Amino acid sequence: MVGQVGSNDTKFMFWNICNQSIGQLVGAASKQYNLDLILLAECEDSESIRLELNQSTERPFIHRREAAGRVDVFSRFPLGSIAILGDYGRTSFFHLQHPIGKDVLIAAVHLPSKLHMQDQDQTLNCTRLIERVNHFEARLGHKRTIVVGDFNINPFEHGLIAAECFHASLSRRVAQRGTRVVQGNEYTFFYNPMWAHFGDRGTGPPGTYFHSASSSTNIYWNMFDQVLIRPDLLDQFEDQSVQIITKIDGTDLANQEGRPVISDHFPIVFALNLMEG
Amino acid sequence: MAGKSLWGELPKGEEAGRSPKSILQEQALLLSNSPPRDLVGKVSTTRNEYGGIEHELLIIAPFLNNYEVGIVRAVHGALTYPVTVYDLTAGDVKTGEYPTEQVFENVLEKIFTSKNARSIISSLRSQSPKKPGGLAQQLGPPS
Repeated sequence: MVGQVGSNDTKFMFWNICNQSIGQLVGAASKQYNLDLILLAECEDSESIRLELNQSTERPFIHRREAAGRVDVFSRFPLGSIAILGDYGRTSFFHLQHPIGKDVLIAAVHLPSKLHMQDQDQTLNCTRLIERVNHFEARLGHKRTIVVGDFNINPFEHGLIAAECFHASLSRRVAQRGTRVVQGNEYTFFYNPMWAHFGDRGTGPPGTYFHSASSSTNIYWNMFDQVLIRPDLLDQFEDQSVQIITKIDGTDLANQEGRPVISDHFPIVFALNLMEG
Repeated sequence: MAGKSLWGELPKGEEAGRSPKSILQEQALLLSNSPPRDLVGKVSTTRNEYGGIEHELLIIAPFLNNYEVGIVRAVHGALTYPVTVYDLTAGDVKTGEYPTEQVFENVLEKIFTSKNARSIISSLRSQSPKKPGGLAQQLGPPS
């Protein structure tokens, strides 16, 4: 089970499944973690995944993705609870309207890989993305936002930490300040809980993606798959709900060295308590 | 008393030809006016952190609660050409840098007529109440 999760919590999973036919595993994960919302990147066969998800369940999943989307969403919420607000190349914006709870803006990302984009361009991409986040927050009239997905950059890189970009702090207390003024401009924080999962002292693997390179700087383990949470949602979020998954229903997602094998990314799960109260 | 102008005869801008923004705006308008006029083309312009000027052509589907989809991004500096183009329908892929309006138009045409762009427009129109046999046609003209 997801660590310290209440029965009314909304449970999320993000997984870059690398175009693998693993509907059965996704279905097993949905049962094991009692998932409500599944976001998949590099998902080629969404129909077979939907069928697997809906085998022997009283709460079937609905599949959502427009032709331009890069992230497939499977939702157990009633039809109409998830609206797709926009697709912009590698980012999709969803509005989740919980039937009896708080509504949330979800930005699902699968940003370009370092193999195809320079660091500076990755940073620039993040400034573009945060402008869209601000745009949709203004449209919805709140800042209950999460950004989740395969960022293809690590939590310590400019695109994630710079004020003009995601402004994602490793500290909940810092993020709870809400905003920070830099050179006359006010920037809202995100909280990035994935920092706590970096390296060997976490409860899971050292990262979500392993890459060995011949360059002099090589950290091997990367935390490309992340969830960022706005301060306005922090009361609904427990750090302990975040897990990097390495086993689903007895199937190892890692090889003997602990590296991802079924996909080249491990999935992440987390929960939010969106019930009003 | 005004001093002598040292600017000479200032250029009026016509020599520079059509800018990437004006070309994108023309295309957005053409899309908006294309029957059955169910989709809206829009150009959004911003300045990026490195001083570049970015124009994005978006398609908006008013019948899907103003769902937006990005089609193309054109980026240039103080000079309008060369312009760098990103194909958003292919996942934000840089297609190249184009020195003139002619080659810029050529690449736009290639993107607009690509399988990805067709599939996006077709998918949106299949959900339109104005499509043949769609809700608007079934209900008939307003009384």
